[in-house]
Amino acid sequence: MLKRGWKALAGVTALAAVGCAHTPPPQELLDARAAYQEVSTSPQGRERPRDVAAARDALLEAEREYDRSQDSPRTRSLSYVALRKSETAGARGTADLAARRQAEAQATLQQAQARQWQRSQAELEAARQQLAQAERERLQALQQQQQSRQHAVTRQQEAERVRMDARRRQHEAEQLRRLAQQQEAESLRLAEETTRLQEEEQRRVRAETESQRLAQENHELLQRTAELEAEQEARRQVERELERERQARLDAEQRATEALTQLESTARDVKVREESRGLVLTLSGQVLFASNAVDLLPAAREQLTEVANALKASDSPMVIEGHTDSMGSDAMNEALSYRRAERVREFLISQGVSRDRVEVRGLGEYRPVANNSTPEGRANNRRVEIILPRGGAEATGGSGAPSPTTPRR
Amino acid sequence: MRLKLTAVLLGLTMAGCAGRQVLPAPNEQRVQAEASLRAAEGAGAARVPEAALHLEFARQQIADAERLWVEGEQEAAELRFRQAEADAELAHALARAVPLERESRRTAAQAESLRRGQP
Repeated sequence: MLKRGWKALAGVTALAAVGCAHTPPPQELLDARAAYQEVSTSPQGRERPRDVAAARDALLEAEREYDRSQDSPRTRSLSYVALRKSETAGARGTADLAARRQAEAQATLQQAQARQWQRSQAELEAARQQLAQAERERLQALQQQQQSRQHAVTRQQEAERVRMDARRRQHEAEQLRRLAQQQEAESLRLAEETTRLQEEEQRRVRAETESQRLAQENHELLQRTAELEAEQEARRQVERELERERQARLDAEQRATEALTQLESTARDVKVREESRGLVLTLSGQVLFASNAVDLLPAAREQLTEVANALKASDSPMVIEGHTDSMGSDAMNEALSYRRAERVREFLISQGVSRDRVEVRGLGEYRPVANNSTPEGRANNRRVEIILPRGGAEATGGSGAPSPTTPRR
Repeated sequence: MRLKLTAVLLGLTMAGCAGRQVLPAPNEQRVQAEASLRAAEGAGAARVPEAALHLEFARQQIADAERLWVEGEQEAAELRFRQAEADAELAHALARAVPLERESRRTAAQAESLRRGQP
């Protein structure tokens, strides 16, 4: 509408120009036209259509006056008014635009501020929460610190207690050590004392032993002397006894010899001879044993009893020798002669002759006393000899038996 | 009052090239000029330099008009009153526009800087 208005104005002016004669328009009018041109096409003008319309009317009035009176004071005055009205329209439009922009800007600003406020609120909240968190953590840390301090205190107390304990124990140990030392010193002293006493005792004992020994020696000497004397006495006694024994033996022998000699007279088959080897009783084999037998004949017992009696008169040792003739093997004869001698021994012992006295030998056919080629000779060879050695002289024999020792009484 | 003025001007427009003006009573012109002046003063035009300028113009022209009136130049006086009123109206408008413009620019700048400040 304004555009049309401007065009209309231009049209009017043109018509007016054609219609009336014109001097150049006054500056005021040109200014007014320019001003209206500007405001009617401006955004400010669009804001205030009524004001712009008023400005147009004023300009039109000025134009008409110009047409009428050209460059008159009135034209200039109306032009001035028109100019001012255009400016006024512009100013009012500016104001309205500014107001709206202000409102928008205000709104934007408020929004931005609101957002910032929200953000800062959020930051504040976050900061507050952080602060609260920090506070909680601080409190926690404080608590922990307190706890740890408490623990430290407790541990310290504990350590102190332990230290006190250790010190006390150390003290006690020290005391014990001292006590031990004392005891050790004491025991050392006692040991020394004991040693000393022991030594003294030992010395005393030694002295005693010595004196005892001397006494003993003395005693022993005395004893030895006594012993020697006793021995001498004993020896003398022994000698006496031996003498007595010898005498007894001699007597016994004498009696035995007498008995045995008498025996010859009483016993027919017993010959009694004195030989170098001693007193020899020869018993005929024929009388004693059956041929090849070892058992004594009943008749022999009688004779042997008397022999036994005679032998019992003394206790001198004897040897019983069995002999055979040369009939048969050597080994057989040896065995036979031995066994026969044994039988004789057994009998004598059964008659009371002491076993210890009697020795037995079997000489087989080795010691004939007669010629084996004749029956008489053989009969004489078949014999048992009882030999009683004289005074410890060895009984001759081939067996090499040890000499019978004189038994001690 | 404005509506009335507009109606008058419209009437003038209809009149065409050789139209005779129907002017309001000179008294009325003065009253209107002074009323506009008061209004402009009341809007704080004195404080706004651009407005103060036109306020002064208005005052001067009222004084001139009154002098002319006293001197018997009624037509000139009435034209002067009309000019004065126009200046006073402009002063009034400027008194509002200039501060608003300034403030709106400042606020826009603020908003812009704030907008730029926030990614």
